[in-house]
Amino acid sequence: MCKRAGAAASWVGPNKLAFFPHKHVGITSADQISQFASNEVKVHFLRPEVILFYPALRKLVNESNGVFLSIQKLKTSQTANNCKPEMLKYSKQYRSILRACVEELQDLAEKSVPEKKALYENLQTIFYNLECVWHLTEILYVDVIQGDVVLPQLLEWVRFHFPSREIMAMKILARKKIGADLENVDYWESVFGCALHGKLDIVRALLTLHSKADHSAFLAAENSLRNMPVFNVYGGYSIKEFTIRWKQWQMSLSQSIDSKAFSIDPMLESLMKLVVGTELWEFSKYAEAWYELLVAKLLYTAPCCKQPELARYANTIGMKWQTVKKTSLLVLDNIYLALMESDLHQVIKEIQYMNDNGWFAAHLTDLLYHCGRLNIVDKDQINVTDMLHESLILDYGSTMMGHHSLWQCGASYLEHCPEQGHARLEVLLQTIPLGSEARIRKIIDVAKQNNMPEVVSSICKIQGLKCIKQNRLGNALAWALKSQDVLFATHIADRFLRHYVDHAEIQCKDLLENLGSCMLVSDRLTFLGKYCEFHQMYGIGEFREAARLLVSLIVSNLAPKYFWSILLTDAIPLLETDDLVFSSQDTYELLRAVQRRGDDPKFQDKVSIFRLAAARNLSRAIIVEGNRPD
Amino acid sequence: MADSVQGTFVSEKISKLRWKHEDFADARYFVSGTWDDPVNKVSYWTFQKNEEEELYPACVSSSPVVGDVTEIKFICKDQFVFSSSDGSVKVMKLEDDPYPNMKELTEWKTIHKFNKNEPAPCTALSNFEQDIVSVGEDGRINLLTAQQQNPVRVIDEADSCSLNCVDFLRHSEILTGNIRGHMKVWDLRSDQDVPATTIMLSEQSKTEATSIAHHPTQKHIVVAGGGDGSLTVWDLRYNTYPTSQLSAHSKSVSEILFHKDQPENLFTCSVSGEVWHWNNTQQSKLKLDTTDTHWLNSINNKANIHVNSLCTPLHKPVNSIDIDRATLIFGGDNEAIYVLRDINVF
Repeated sequence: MCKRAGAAASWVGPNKLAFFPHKHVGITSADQISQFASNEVKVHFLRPEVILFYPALRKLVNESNGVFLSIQKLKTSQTANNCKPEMLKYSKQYRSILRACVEELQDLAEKSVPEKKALYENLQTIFYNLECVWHLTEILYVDVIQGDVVLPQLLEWVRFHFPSREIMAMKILARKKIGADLENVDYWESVFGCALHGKLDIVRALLTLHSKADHSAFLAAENSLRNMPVFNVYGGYSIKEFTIRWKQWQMSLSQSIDSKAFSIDPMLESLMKLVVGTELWEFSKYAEAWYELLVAKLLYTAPCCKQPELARYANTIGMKWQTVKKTSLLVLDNIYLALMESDLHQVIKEIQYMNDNGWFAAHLTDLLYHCGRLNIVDKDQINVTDMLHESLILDYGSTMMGHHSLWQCGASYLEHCPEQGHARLEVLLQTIPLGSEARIRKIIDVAKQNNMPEVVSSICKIQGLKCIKQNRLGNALAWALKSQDVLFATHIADRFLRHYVDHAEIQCKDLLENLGSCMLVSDRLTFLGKYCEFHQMYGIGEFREAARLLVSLIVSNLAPKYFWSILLTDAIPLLETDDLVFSSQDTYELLRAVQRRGDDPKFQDKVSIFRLAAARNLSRAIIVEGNRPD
Repeated sequence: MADSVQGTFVSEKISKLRWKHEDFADARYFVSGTWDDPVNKVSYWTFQKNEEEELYPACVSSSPVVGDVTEIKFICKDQFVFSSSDGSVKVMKLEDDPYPNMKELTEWKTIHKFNKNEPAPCTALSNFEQDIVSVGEDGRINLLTAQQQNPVRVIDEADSCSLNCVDFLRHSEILTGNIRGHMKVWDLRSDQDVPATTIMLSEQSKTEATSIAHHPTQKHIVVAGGGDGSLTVWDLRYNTYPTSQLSAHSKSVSEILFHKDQPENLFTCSVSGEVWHWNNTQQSKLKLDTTDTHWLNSINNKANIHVNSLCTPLHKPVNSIDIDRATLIFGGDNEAIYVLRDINVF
């Protein structure tokens, strides 16, 4: 059908698209019945799959929402920029949420059927990678590193994310057998792997298990590795002092290599060459990623590398990696490279392709933003940091708003977008399906909190109209009063009065009799409330009070046109009571009202009775009043 | 958040949490209800140890519910009744043998409905042992008893507005609250379908009644929470005017709870994310109190009442609380269940 007629699409809510066959009809089209008239037409709803809505990931969504809001709160309570330790704490919280999520996905993948398994494994990869990127970002931008020497943290990062060689080494060590190199084919692989990661204690332990471990060359190597100076901020040396010590150590090792001290085993010799920093690329086969080589390069040639210098090293290694390995860098590699080059704009661009529906981009950007590390300038040299930050959070919040249950979570993101958040929230709040009154109250609560009286009154009105359709006028009035909606309250009061005119029965007495000051919202409602009170008084035999109310209702002139005949008819029995309830003044008012309003056809047959009763009442009143000694 | 608060994320918005109380021991199980998903659940929870030897809640069994779970009450040791926003009420039995499980005993389908048989949300229920009373947005009161399939009594037009909350004060008396804050006392012995008394939540009656609780032993003391976060206290023996009125939370009160064994302690939670513990520590237990007044009755006179915030406010509404001895559980719209141990109740 779509193929033949053409198609169109329109938005149904924030992230749903309706796609349907459509043929444009304009003023120039021929005025005839469409050739497709009798065909069955389907409307297809399209929406992007949001992985964050899987139950397994909702924990991540909610928990990170909590952290996000804590950060926003911190920002408002702390004006100074020295909340770094706090930010690090939050960054770690985010990471632990991610890790918990990966663990849970792993559990699920193990337990589930094959079709689902692939899905969970896929998700697991996504979130594992996110954690990895987050960790590096934390090291480079959130954590405050003494002296700016980044190597120790980088080593930790690489070790954490590429544990395979270390596990391999641990297995060999666990056997505790001399001659490990002969028994394990992966012996040297694990030695080099650990050396690349700077795990020199493991390397040494492995060397002692080598078949020739007693040889002087091995002893010398072990000794040299043990004495390698490792930079530590709290080590008691300044960077300069450390550099001198390290250079000395390197020199002596280099001399040993030159004197063929390690030539007994070619592998050992190349290990020492790696450690001394003269060879690196021979070992690229032991590395899974270019940044493994990067940290090795730093460790053995520039252990005191500071963050600003990192970019240069990263770039060279990254470039060479591509030529040596004959591969191009993947998305993740590019992100790492951009992170090291301090090109956060590029980082944010790249992380939006991570297939996580914007969770990562929004949260990471927000964290960096609040750390004061985000400073992005667009191609026209305009600072767009605030805009970028807001747009990412706005997108993420809007995605969440599209979910049946996570709308509260989405709203809390939009609330923190100073520019467009309010408007977006205002629009989206009104697209949420309403449901039970408990849910409506929650939606109204969000609207009230964000100071959106129009949204509140529109929601109240929708619910009120629904109640009217269900014939529940009382409840409709309750909703009208909740939003203090004058016109709507008037409309409902009118319906009550008309019902009385038609059926001579007051609905929802329990509500109307207890309106209190709320009846003052609209004139019509005030009239209804007072009229109800009149009935109440009349019912319990308080005729004097009832008469007073009736006269005041008549004098106030609040009654709608169709109700005058009722008011006047109500007066007749009161005019005829045994005890006098209307004074002469009251009776004049009644007569005046009949003069003005008594032309209602429904009242025509009662006019003469009314006049007669009024005349009789007036005569009684004049006599009584005349006898009163005042 | 304090270290003593332990949160577990469950991927569903929690609407109700209720302990399964044990006779002479700490409760080991609780039941939860969820809301706002297309299909919701009632779940049966226990505590398991994780790798760090901490006890954390673990779901052992759950059963799907159409509509939101709006109230859960235990009617005996191992049976509970819950209401749903699709207008029905169900009794479930908890079984531990051979494995923890839930079994449906009785269901009253769509006992709350609008005119055209369209289901109306059941908003609350309360019980007096096996007798159950349910109220709904249709303004109807249903009296049920656990063993009987047909409602014992139905008051069709009990209220012209939506009823929000209900409480079984004694075996023959219930109290309902509606969205206008009208509180009606119903004497069940009378066969007239009119309330015995109507009282107002607040003078201006501008806000809805959201929750009612009565003192476990002095049943004439009733506390109601309002949509504006206020608490109103009545002594139903004397008159219809509140004995005290407090503006408490900044937003709607979600639940009010007296400690079952230590009724001096009152707990409230709110849409603002707060969980509060109210008690009157100055009142010594040794002093023989001849007047049977609860501190709630005299808040206005003596300002010696203590209110503790049990945790830093959550960012989302807290919908439900329950306490067993010194362990409190609470949960809400941030899709987590929190456990607070060793609460000082005396």
